[in-house]
Amino acid sequence: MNNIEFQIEQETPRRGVLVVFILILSVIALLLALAVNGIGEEVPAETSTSTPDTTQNKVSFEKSYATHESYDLGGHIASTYGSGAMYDTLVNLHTGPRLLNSTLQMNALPVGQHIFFDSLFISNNGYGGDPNDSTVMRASKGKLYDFQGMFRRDRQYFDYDLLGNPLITPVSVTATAAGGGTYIYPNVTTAPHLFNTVRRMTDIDFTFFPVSKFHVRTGYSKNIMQGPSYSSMHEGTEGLLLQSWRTSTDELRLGVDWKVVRRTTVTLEEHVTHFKGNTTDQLAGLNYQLTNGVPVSIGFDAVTNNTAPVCTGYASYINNATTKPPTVNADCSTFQSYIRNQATRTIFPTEEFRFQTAYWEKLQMNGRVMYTGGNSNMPNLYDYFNGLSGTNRQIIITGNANAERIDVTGDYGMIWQVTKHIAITNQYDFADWRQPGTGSLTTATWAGANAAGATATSSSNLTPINPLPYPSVVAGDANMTAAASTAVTSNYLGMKSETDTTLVNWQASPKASVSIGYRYRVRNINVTFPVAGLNTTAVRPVVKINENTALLGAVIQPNSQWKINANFEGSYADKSYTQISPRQSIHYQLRSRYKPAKWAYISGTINDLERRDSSIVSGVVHYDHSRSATMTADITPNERYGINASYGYSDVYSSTNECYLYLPTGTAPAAATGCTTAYPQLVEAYIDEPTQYGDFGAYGTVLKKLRADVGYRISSVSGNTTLLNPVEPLGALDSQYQTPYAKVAWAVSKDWIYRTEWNYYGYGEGPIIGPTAARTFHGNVYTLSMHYEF
Amino acid sequence: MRRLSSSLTLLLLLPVFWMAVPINAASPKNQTATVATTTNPPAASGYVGAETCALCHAVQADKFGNNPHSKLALMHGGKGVTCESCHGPGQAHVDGGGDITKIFSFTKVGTKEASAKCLTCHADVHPNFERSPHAEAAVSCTSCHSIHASVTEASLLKAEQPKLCYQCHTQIKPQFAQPFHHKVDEGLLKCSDCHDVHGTFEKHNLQSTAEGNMVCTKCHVETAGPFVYEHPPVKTEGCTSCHSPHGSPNPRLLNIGNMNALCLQCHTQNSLFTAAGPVGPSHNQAAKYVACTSCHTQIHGSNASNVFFR
Repeated sequence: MNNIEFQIEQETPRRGVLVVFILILSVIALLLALAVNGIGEEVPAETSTSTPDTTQNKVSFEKSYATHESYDLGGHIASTYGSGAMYDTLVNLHTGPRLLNSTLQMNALPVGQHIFFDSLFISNNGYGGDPNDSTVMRASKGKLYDFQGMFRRDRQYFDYDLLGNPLITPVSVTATAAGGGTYIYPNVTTAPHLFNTVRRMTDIDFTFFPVSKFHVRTGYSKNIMQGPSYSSMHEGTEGLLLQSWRTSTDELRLGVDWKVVRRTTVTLEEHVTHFKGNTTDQLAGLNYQLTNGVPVSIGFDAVTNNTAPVCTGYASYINNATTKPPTVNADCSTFQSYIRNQATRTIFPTEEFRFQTAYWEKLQMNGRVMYTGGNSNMPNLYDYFNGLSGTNRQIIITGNANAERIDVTGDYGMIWQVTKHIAITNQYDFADWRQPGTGSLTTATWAGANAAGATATSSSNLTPINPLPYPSVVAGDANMTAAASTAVTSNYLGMKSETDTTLVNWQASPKASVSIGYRYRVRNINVTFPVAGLNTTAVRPVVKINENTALLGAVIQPNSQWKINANFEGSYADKSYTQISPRQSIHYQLRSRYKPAKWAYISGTINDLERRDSSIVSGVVHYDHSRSATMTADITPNERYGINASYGYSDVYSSTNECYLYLPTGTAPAAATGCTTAYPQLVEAYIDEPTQYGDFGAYGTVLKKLRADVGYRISSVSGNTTLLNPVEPLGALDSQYQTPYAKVAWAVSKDWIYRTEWNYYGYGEGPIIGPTAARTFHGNVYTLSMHYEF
Repeated sequence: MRRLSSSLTLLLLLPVFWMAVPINAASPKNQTATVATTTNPPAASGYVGAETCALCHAVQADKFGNNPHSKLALMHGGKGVTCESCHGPGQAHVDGGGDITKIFSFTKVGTKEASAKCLTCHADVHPNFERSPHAEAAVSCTSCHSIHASVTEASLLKAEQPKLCYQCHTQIKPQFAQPFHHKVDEGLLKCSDCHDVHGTFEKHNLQSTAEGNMVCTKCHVETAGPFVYEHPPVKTEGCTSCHSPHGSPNPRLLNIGNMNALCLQCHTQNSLFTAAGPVGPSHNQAAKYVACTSCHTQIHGSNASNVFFR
């Protein structure tokens, strides 16, 4: 892998050097500008006309600032019951000390020198073991610069054991060898695609000369995700793979804003995004062996594969269940070894030009043009399989791939205040992205012959690999063959779209306004795809979709405390690209907010989105809707007491007619109406997710130095869905998640506060758990901390 | 590469042009971020100066030192006013004994007028606001921001995200309480990480990446591609074809929990659509309960397999 990384870096040094060179030139340009304008020189503190007091300049750094710091040090004590995997997936708070929070605030005083900053703010949260921690930093110095920086770290653990799980119940099978005993296939207890990764995100932004007519902005973002995760690979059977996940992205931003004339700004920006994918895969789960003792994996869903060709001719995978580990039949598909490296480098340089003007009193305009010429390169794929897949004992795939993304985007918007009460807005959007890609893959295969000398079409795990390079045949073993083929494919995906939206807004009175509008959108989707088994691509006809949308909106304010918003959007498209892309869509929204005082409000929303793509002509039958009614109320007159509450009901529903292959043992069923013999089974695949949510919270200063918070939250889903797998339970689709909490804060002294917090996490599904372990858990997390500020 | 170099060279030369053009954001040497305390305020007609405002509005004046708007004092040759930059000339208000009708008050005007005042300076960074769904719904800058009574210093918000957004978007709060959700309530993400609440050219105020991909790829970079073998709807229809980004009772924020039912929505037999249906004994749903993504693992796109195996 080190060689692969080194080779890749050699190909992109010019880009990296160029970026660094540009940054250095930027800094030099800025320093020159500073020198010319004398900015950054030492300045006395006061703006008064009094003679600067030189003694003030000798004030120490510390006394030049008003400084405020606070620290929350403490820790969690966590106790959990039930599914640790589900608790780690949803909560993942564990026992240990923490830097719960710290802040530092420094503001310049009118004494002393302030060389680097006038104000500085730093805060930290969650360090010491929480799944999320963060650092925020802000600094500014007058009209010289503004700085914002943020670091976030997120531990992502996922082990929801129903996703992708074959749900093998403990099946007992008889070993094929005489006296081999019986074997019970174990449950797959974890999610086959479990992951335990960490994402680290850093964002830094500088703005130089923020109040001048000419700004310079520069920024940098880094996103790293790494950690172990599991994946799988189909080669005969489905082998479990351990991934060392590692991806990183660096984004550089450089922009200049220039206030050309009154209330008009033009902007030039350059973005450069560089992605590095270094994830590698290797075989996991070598839990069985061959008769010669070689460890093998039979895949994590071997039972379901038992009657498939992967183990043809045998009643079960297991030859002998009395050995440790169990011995598998040599003629069944196995993984003995697997490695994959496919390091990828992608770069997206983007140029952007923007303008915004309100020069004319009744006309505001803005727009942008962007161009991206991106490139993705996978120079060296190495995919190595050793085991038995069909007749192949070994497969090595090497090659390279290159894809581009060329994106041209143009947007324009304007508002014309025609009269005092009527305004017209228009927005035009153009996007044309094209992604051609070329891949050249060489697949070398080594077949083997059965040790007993069966036909050339059979192979065995025990057959040694032909050590000679392909294409060659081992002398005297006509059944051992090696072959190689190279496939070069060129594919293309592109979409060109134009959208125009026009709205007329009428301010009927200070208390009411109405808007009516129309949107037209056209998309042209162009695809070429590889034809299976051939070194050619097929071109599909361009799919052109015209979509028309009517827009209506109203705002009513019966009085200064009460506002009601209503919106309607209805659209129709003459085609769709997929069966679930809606051709007809209607969206209603009604929102009301009543705010009788600055410290109290009650608001509610009714939302209904109905979509469908159904036509007797096309045979597509798809409906989906998302409906909700929610409200929230908050009364917080002061810091001493307050209450809040929320309630929501939502119903998400989707139904699609699906034709698929379903052939239980016995006679193949006739094709259902609307389906074909290749996909004879028809099902109305649906999902219904009625959800109720509620929360309540209250806080109060119980005694002079004692404040308490209590609250309760619950989210309950009572859903149902079509289960193609009859052993699969509903899982989280039929679940309740409760999280009550209580907090007490005791002001020990002016600077010290003792805090105790209790959080309960209760998750349950019901009543059918399924063949895996129950995912129910209860967790109590006590957080004790001392808060000190000075 | 040549185009990139030319663009960047132009950007680098712009500061040189700027140096040649006199600008009025000048720099007297005695500047701090605190409110300017000029003893001789400018003679601009109708303006009284911030120290006059502070005589009655001491609370607001005291807190203003930490406010980003205190930079206004540095503008216009160091003689920039602060209070009156937003509230207008105060002479009539003072002469009227504090007559509130003689000064611009954000709570007494309509939302458009209130926003227009802020956009006088901030229109360049929020050029889409007046066409945004928020503006159309009569949400003004002061609906979310408070110059004098903010809770968050960074953006002068009246409340922290997401609590501020939940005050109106009540239907979103339950979504983030679903078992599988983006960690907004936990504080890892904010609404403004994905949405630009001041308006964008996209629907739902969504941001997008510089190269025109959905904003999801800003964090989920491995799905951005481009790939030799694309899963076309990921790019043409968007991530919400399969995922519910706020929260879902289904793992991986999927729209449908049963993986095979999700994929078969499109990969089903229909002569008008080109998504291939799964055929062959390995796809027999009666005999093989394996999830589609157990084999088709690189479902967002692949450089090495036209069926997304690797």
